[in-house]
Amino acid sequence: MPRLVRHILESLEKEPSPRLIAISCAAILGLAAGDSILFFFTRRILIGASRDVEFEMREDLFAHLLRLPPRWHRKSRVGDVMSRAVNDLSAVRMMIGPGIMQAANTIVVGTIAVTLMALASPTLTLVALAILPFVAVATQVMGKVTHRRFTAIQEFFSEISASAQENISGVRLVRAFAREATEERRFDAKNREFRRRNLGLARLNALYFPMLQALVGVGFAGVLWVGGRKILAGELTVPRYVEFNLYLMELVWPAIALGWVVNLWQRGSASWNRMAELWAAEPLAVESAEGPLPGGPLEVKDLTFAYDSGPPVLRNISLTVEPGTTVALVGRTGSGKSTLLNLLLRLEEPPFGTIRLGGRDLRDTPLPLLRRALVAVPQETFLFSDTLGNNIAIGRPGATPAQVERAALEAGLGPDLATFPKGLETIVGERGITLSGGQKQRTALARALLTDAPYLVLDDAFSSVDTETEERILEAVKARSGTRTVFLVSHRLSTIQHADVVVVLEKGRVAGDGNARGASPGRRPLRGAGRATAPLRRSRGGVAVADHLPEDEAQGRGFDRGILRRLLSLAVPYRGYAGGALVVLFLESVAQLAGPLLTGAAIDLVFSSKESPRKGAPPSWGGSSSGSGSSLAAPALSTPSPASTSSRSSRRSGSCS
Amino acid sequence: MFLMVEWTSRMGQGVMFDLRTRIFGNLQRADVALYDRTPVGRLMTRLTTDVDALNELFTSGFVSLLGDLAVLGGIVAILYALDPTLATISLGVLIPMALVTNWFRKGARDTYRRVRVRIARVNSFLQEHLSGIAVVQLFRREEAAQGAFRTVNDDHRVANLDSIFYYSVFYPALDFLSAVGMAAILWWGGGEVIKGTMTIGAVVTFLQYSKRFYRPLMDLSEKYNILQAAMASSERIFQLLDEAPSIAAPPFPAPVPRPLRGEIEFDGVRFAYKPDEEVLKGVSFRAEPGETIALVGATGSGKSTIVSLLLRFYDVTKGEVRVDGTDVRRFDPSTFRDGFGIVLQDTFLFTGTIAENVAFFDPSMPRETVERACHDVGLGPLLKRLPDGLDTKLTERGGGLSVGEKQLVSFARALARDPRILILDEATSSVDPETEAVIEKAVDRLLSGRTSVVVAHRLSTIVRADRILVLAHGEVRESGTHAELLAKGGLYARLYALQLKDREAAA
Ligand SMILES: Nc1ncnc2c1ncn2[C@@H]1O[C@H](COP(=O)(O)OP(=O)(O)OP(=O)(O)O)[C@@H](O)[C@H]1O
Ligand SMILES: Nc1ncnc2c1ncn2[C@@H]1O[C@H](COP(=O)(O)OP(=O)(O)OP(=O)(O)O)[C@@H](O)[C@H]1O
Ligand SMILES: [Mg+2]
Repeated sequence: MPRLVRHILESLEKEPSPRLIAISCAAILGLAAGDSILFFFTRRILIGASRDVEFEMREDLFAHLLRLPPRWHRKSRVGDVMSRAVNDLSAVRMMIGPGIMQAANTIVVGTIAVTLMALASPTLTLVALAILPFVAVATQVMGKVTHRRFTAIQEFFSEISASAQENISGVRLVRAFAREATEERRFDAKNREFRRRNLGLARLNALYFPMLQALVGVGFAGVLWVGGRKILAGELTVPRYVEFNLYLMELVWPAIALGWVVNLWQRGSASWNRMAELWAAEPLAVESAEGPLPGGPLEVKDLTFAYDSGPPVLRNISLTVEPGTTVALVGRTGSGKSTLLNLLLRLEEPPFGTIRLGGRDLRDTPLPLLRRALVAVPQETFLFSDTLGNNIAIGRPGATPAQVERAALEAGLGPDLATFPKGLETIVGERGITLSGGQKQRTALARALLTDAPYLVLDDAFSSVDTETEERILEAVKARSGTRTVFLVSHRLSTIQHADVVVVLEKGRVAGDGNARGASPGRRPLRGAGRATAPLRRSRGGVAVADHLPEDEAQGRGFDRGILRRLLSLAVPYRGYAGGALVVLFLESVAQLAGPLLTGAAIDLVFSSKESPRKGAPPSWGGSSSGSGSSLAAPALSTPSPASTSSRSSRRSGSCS
Repeated sequence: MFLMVEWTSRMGQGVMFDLRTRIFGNLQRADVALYDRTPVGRLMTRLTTDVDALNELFTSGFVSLLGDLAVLGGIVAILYALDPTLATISLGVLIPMALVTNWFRKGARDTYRRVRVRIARVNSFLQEHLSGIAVVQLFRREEAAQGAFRTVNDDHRVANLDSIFYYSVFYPALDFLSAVGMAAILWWGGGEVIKGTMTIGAVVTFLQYSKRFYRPLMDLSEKYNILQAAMASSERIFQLLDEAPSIAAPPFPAPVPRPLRGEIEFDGVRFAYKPDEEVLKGVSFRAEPGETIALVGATGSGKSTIVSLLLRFYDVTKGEVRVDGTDVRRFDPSTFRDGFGIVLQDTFLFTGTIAENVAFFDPSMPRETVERACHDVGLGPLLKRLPDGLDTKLTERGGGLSVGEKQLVSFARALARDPRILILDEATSSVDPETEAVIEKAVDRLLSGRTSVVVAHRLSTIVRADRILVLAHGEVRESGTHAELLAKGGLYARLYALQLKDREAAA
């Protein structure tokens, strides 16, 4: 396009012809249209692709996390994993999408410009490129430091979000203990540190980009100096020099963009490393869920187990459980009951050869089969923010509404459902927050009862249920599960008396076992049954989509003065900075505005002084052929300001959100 | 230049810092009910992702926006001074530009909003499933969870792709229009030069200015964009900030007696979490200072709700809750709660050491107090066994302890503050009876003369209470001492008979 413009201008001096002008204008438009269309597609494709990659990566990451062993999850902090899966992922996306697009752009424009420059004047090209090593070194250093600082920022971001998340999850406790002020102080300290680290990175950019501009300025000055002497010596024509300068200006933008790309790239790779740490964890092997369910006796032989490198929690446990028996595990707090059950469920991995199910080592039993055979009510209840019905149906995706309801009734939820207008369609809050403790626990119980697994593990599953309700539930469970093997943990004797065998754990050892005393009382029919509930709607087969909770969709206009005013008011405490920046910006703008006036004047001067200009002397509209004032101003004029640089770069690179 | 970037980033970081502080502070005061209906992941999105979206606006937006405007104004002035006709021509493309911008604005606004909503959804989903990963795995829900996540994740991607569409039309369109402007100048200007009414220099000047004119213009639309994105996220932030807590200190809060005497009175209290679903239907009772009140009743009968109302997590719908003779609504909630020691039904511990948890991160609490509290609740043997003792690090939610041990730690936390009123909501439900007996003795000793409210399913815990309230369906059905209630032969007598079997079995 510069060439076209030059041609028009040239023709204006030589043989003014409206036709030529029209043609050239049309050509400009055509070129622009082509460029725009190309631009449209590259954006769409490249940035779109980066979104696709983001989607894929997030999905793969989630799938990976789902298959990481429970021990891994036990040790990780949700907030930390979240920040990697959200924040770091987006930095990686920026590297892939905008980063690559910009890099490609830079390389293409840079190569073309350098080639054309070399054609115009090889010597001057060398002079101009002499700054390259310095740019390279500066960029290298900047990249390294960016990498380091950005990693530090992301690490701290993890920390800040994990602790904020705990605060939010534990809100009732914070309130109950009136710790709001302390929590704010703790957060404030982290927030400050986070700001400090961010400013450290920002300062790096504040140093780097102006330095880059200064280097470019030096390059221009060098070209002017060498070029000027050559012109004086008659080795170079003015038009060539002007043309050269024109291309050099085209190079300024790629040089600046390069810094931006390196920046993105370093951030991305820092984040990538953090994500890679997640990927490095070994997932559970994928095993087939097909095959006969394990069954038969469960033998524990000389089991000793310790968490990580701690002292053993279980010592030399040996016991055999025949199918169909109900085993009660009792013992004081911390004696190892849950640990034993978690080992049976393989939430912790038992050492090889210590636990056998139906004659097969538990470690050799495919996990999906084991999970089908053993179903558990964990000691700590977890419900999803979904309907009660869906929460229950989790264990058996194909269950009919009637089956779900029956399980709910068996778990003693009947009276509660009667008080919920929506019955099983009632949506519970996150972790079941809108239910009472006992309701939560019984929902988890119903979830287990709905499956027809031959082994049922109840880890203190009645701790929040009153004795009467508990009694009723246990009756129902026993009535239906004649052949089920049941493991019960309880601190209540009323529960334990339902067991055939009682195992007492004491400090990780079996203290003695025998039959529980007291015969089970007569079986009473389940009460509270037969209440009609709203028909169950099976929603989407998926569980727990958080949007079940009312969405806070925003209304109102996009451009809202109120919002704008509030946004601005946020900046009020920092108006000093804003003012200072504005002054700098203003000075720069004035310099920018003055440039073209000078150039135009200079050109007219040249043309008026030499009535008939030398043939082929193209007036320049970028550089200047005379008047050192405007030439010197050139670099400053044409280098984009940092603000416009960053915005321009983000524009080219698409939505950064 | 350096200064400018430095200053704007100081401003940007400063604004974000302030916002995070304010959001966090607001979350510390927001109604507990907000947390009942908002997933943690969504609140986290406000605090992190949404705040980050403002970064660009403040670091590269506002200031250079003003700069751009100044440049534009200057250029327009110069152009008109040079040649009004040509100036008008080159400004003519502004009209289609405005149209394009308007189209973009409308489209982009909606997609931005959608992106914000959906990223919050992605975050909530991840958050929830990572928290409940054990359940997902135990019930073999991996595939299903993955499928559900794909939907949520894809919604987010689609929203983003939509916004990319608007972008990728918008910028090339502007580029093209600026080329149109240039061509127009050349064409018209060229004609003028041929006619001799204009110099080449003037045309060149014009071209240069128009080039300089379009760039800030495009920057301007970019700024507009940033603004739009910032508004979409600040909209949600402000929404959160504007959520005026209904449970807050009145303008002139009643002074909280120090120390509290410990008189509690429920007077005809009615309460519903959701309209029309009344959970408490007129509960009245009174606890004199130093008394122990026990609440028993079937699950879901409203015991924990009474506790929540006493702490003023929620406000009653009708009636009054009074402490030391003053309606709790007249106190500043935080100051008021300071006098309580509470064990909530859902045990919650923080990441940190056992000692930090017992002291609730209060560095001023003496180590001896923490140790004493731990011993009082029977944590002694455990602490002796742990190599790091009180300084054992716990992971999220108290990971690293058995459930009963966690409950004991949270019990110790309540005792360590030497409360005037002790509230125990199923505080020992996961603790074995022997340990429970140890605690009971300690509590008896520690809390002589203090008021306590005890909720328990295990009646052994409560037989010695001064008064037992039997709740059923949100009403107090029976009330009296253990002996009185047994003599009455009602609900309580039946519950007790059931549990008596325990004792017989134990004997
Ligand atoms: N945050 C909430 N939002 C809506 N409903 C709630 C909420 N918390 C409790 N409920 C409902 O209020 C009723 C009473 O609950 P509450 O927790 O007071 O029972 P509870 O007597 O403590 O039972 P439990 O012995 O099982 O703990 C229940 O039906 C429950 O579903
Ligand atoms: N993730 C863990 N890491 C390290 N130690 C643990 C972990 N989980 C439990 N422990 C320790 O192992 C011991 C046994 O814990 P376990 O949960 O099996 O006890 P429990 O008998 O089920 O107790 P409770 O009756 O309180 O549920 C406890 O002392 C506990 O501190
Ligand atoms: Mg346990």
